[in-house]
Amino acid sequence: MPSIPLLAAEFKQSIGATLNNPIDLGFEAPGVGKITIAFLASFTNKNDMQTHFLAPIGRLLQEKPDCNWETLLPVISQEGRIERESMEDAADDLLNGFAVIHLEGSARTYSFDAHQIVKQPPSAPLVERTIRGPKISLLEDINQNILMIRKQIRNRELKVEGIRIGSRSQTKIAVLYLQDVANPQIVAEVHRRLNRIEIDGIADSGYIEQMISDNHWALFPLTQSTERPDKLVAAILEGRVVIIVDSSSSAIIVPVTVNELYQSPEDYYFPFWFGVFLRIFRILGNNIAVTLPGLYIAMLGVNPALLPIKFTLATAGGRIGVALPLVVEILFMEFVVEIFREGSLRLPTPVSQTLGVASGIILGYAAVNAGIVSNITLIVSIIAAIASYSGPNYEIGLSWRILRFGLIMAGATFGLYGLTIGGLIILAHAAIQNSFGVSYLSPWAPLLPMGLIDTVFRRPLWLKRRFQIYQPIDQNRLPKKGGRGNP
Amino acid sequence: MKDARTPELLSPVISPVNFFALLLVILLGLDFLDFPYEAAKTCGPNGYWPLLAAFCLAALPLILLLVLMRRRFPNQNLTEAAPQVLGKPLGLAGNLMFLGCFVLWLILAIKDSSELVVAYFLNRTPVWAVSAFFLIGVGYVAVNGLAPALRLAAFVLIPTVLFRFTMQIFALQGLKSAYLLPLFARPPLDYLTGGAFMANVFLPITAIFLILPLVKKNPGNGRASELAIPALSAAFIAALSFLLGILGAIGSFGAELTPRFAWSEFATIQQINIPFLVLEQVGLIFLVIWITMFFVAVSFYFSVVARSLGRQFPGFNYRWTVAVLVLLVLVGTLLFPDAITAHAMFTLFRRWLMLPVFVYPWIVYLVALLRGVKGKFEG
Amino acid sequence: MGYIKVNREKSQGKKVKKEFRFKLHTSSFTLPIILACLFTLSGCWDLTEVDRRTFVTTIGIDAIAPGETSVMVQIPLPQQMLPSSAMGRGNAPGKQFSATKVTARTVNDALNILQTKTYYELVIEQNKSIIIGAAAARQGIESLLEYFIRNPKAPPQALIFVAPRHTAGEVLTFEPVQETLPGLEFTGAAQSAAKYDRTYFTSVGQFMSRAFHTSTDAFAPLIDLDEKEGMYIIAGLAAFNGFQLAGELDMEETQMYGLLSGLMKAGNLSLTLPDNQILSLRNVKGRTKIQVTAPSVEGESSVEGTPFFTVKVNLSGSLSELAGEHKEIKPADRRRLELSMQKVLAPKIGRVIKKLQSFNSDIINFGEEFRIKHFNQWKKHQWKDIFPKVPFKVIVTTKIERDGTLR
Repeated sequence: MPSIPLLAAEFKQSIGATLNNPIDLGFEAPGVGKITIAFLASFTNKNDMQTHFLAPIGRLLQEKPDCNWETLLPVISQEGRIERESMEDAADDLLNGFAVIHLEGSARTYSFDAHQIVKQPPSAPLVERTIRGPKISLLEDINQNILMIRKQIRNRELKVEGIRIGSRSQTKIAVLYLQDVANPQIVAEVHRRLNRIEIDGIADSGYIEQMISDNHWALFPLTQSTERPDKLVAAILEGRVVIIVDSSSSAIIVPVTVNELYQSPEDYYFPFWFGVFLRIFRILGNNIAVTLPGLYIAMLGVNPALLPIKFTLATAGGRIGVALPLVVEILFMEFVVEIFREGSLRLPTPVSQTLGVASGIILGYAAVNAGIVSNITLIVSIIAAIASYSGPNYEIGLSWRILRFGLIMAGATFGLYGLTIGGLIILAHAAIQNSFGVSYLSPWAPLLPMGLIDTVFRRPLWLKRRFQIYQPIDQNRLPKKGGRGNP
Repeated sequence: MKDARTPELLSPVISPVNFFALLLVILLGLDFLDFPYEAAKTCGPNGYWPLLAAFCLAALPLILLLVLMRRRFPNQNLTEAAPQVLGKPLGLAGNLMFLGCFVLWLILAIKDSSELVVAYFLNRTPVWAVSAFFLIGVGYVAVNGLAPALRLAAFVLIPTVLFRFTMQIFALQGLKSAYLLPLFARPPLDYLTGGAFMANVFLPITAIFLILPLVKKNPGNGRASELAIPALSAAFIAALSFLLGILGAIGSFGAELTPRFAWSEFATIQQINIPFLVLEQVGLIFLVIWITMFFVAVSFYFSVVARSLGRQFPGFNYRWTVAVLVLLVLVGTLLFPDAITAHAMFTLFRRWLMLPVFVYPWIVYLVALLRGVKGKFEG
Repeated sequence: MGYIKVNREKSQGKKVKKEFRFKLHTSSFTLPIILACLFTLSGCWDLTEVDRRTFVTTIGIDAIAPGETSVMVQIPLPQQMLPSSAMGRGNAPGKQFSATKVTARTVNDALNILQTKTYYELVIEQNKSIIIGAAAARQGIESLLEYFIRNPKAPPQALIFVAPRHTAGEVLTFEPVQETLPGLEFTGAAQSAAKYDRTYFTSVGQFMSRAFHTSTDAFAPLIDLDEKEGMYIIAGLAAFNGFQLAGELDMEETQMYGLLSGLMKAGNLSLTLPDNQILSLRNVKGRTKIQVTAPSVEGESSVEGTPFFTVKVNLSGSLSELAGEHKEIKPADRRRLELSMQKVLAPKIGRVIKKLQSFNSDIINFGEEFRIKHFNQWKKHQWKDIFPKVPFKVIVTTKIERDGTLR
């Protein structure tokens, strides 16, 4: 174990090297470079540092400029004080939220608890809500977001790199990944693309997302955005790269596969079978959302041989008196649902409940009675609308909502055949996408048999391997014994 | 090669598992649902023996040749090796014949499948619209390189194969085992004839010659088993499905009625009657699954043919080759006046004209063996 | 803090070359183009709304004169199918179908003419059953069924019925008390076919496959009307010789046929034993083995040259009724009952085979057995010529498996 260097400059360099030079590593040097206080800015409050350390030490130094540990220690509280003689231990203390004091000429350091009290309490996630799991979402402050991750991954291999993007805004961007797990090629690609960005200002991480996407014209999200810190932690542990943008409450995870967009952190918090159950219904729900209106029109308009005769006849009976043709009717309902969806977003909270009930129930009833739509069409479009929210990712839900219209047209023109070819074209569109060199349909395509465990089924937590999907350089989830492992 | 833009998409590395997926999907996708015709026509109730003969006559030699070719030309595919082996003009002519057969085959296949779709799904829709819609989709996959077709194949593999087998097993519900007996009703030569006529069901394996150097686990690790095991298992599973198709068709219709159906394998599926299923007919769902596999297989063919064709002539752009090929095939399908001609030609073509496609790779290999030509190694 | 400001000047030079590696450019426009095509291409050649289609659920076929066919279709009325509470638009249950008839030369012609009588497109994709009048069936139904097999829209699952005493038109216009949409209820009956032993159902596909095969013949259930009580009677079998109706089996004969063919899976059987005891069995299952003895001398086409058939019928069932027996049934009694059952059953089954031979309708798979076991002999004979004359022997073995709650 490396010992603690005697010189202050060496100490700074050494501690920086041990922690892989994170951006939030800070130093204070009261006493003209003799005393060095190292701390991680994301953990530490500047004010506390000033009042509890810098001020008393400064006063002490005025009295006794030639101080040693015996004179220095009494100034600072004894509680939580730990003596360290190796660089490793000192660095680990930093990761635990301690500040480390070094005195030039001494091979010892002392660690003090300098944990910061969170300034702004994180709120519960708005979009990605879950029943189980932490109820916090990311904040708009980059340091606090880094802290949320650091609190869960206290590992030296967690690399935190920063750049500033935006010629006028100079927005802070942090790139987080596990150095010994994430594929260096993917990390290099992330940096290459971030460095390529030419823009005057960044208002939200959405800007970055689009600028680093593999294919700007893709209908599917080729990066994953999330507001949940636990998702970020899981992604980092899988060997993926997290990009946090200052003043944005959603972070970006790359690379991403379409499979990933159907996974909620909740799947892993519930016992195995519940996780599997949830996931199956989520995938089913999204499939319904895309195909149901198209299937409805294909089955009733073009190929009526498939549906049960009684159902077909009941539908035919229900449509008697409806003036609109089937295609127009379903398109009309889809438009109405989309407008409702957009409108209800802007509705002020106090009236949204009332108006929701009025529009949903009364309007639906009235529309059927007025002969504008038939009741089965109403059922189909409402089911499709609700099902499009069954996936945990909002962006891919948007993609499906657009593609649904394509499938309605394909179904109306070519029936079940059109639906098949239309579906295959959509699948092909997904198949030509890459996300940072990773196939978007992975692990289904190219087929990675081991990776299939975490698709419809859920990866059992006892499985100690990382899957090849994100090409991690370390496939073992547990660090090797004796290596640079857990602090 | 002008398209240096998307090297990963045009020349992806195909791992053994993905190779298996690809081969299985193209074998099952290109079976055209009418091979019990040949089986029942040549061998009556014993339609299953010619399948065995076809497996031995076509599938096994082709897989053997795959392994031999890879050993001799580890970094070249068939069309690249041929000019080196046979001389430039002869190699070019051979390659064009080989690829031309595929193009002709695609034309007939798409015509046949469009007729199938028009018969069962869309009565009034003109065939050109069906073919054009299909080719738009295929072109979109193929224009983006080889990888999308491979990925699609891997993606659809599990659901489609599972569903196909389930349906085929359900189709056995009307099976009368007496229709399949006695076990040896025909002279042995009939089985060989039937096998030769049915050999085309294993023909899609020949397309692998065009992408042979891409099939590997890691670069530089080229053991024969990496190629042979996936190829054999894919061919075996496909043969199992074909066997179910033949048993279902001859077992439920008898050897006299089976050849009367245009798509006898599908006619068997169409018979399925599951009273408690929500759907009245499951046959059309089977057709959806088959179209999915067919789409992927055709996309793959377009992609490999265009890729090899582009490399024959310097200056050919891959994307443009695909576009021209799509137009060519579309025009080709429109040239047939009626379904009867197309169907008869398709049957005849698959029986006889596919011989060159089987023989050409063997000629290239044997001449290479005699002249001692070997492929270049890495670099 | 540690945030690096990007040095743009340096990276700019290399950018253009590398960018293509991960981009797909022009091809990405293709998808919007395809979607746009979909909108403009919408010819909607096949789009006909479900309420603008007339579904045929049952087709009735009668022969009027040679070359003249009368076709009647049963069409459900969709507005009657709604649940009565559906937004106040449903009606009280009433007649749920209409039946309309035309005369034409072929089925296709007839359906074409029927199209003129209905406002909307006539579709047979949901056809459930085909009822054939006895006269038409006797003339031969090959050309009729050809239409249902060749037309890809006609479902091969549709059931075939033969109406022996009425025309198909009468069957279709008949308004039963029970069912509201008879065409569909027939399917329901066939779905619970395991419970039937008085008739056996057959679909178009099954009928075709049996009729087309040289060594088998097809059968179809008989449908009759009980006009007094307003009910259908589906019982008995129509035995076909090729595509022509050759004769009928009544209910009891059909039961024997069920035993013979193994179609009886859980039937009921009542027998009057020689000592006037009445014995009933439930869950009767018949398993039959047909053994063929080939002609001993090859080449002789005389009576000695025809094969000999041994029919071994194995029957098992549970006792459900035994009138006239007031004492405990012991194993010896069981044996006695079984033996007397065999004595009653064997001639009955023999009579059914004789009857079928007189029809020249081999629905009992004699020909199949002969073809499989003695293929070379079979090739020398014309099966249809020798079937009426083949000698056979019936051996019945019975087994009473359970005796119910009484000892």
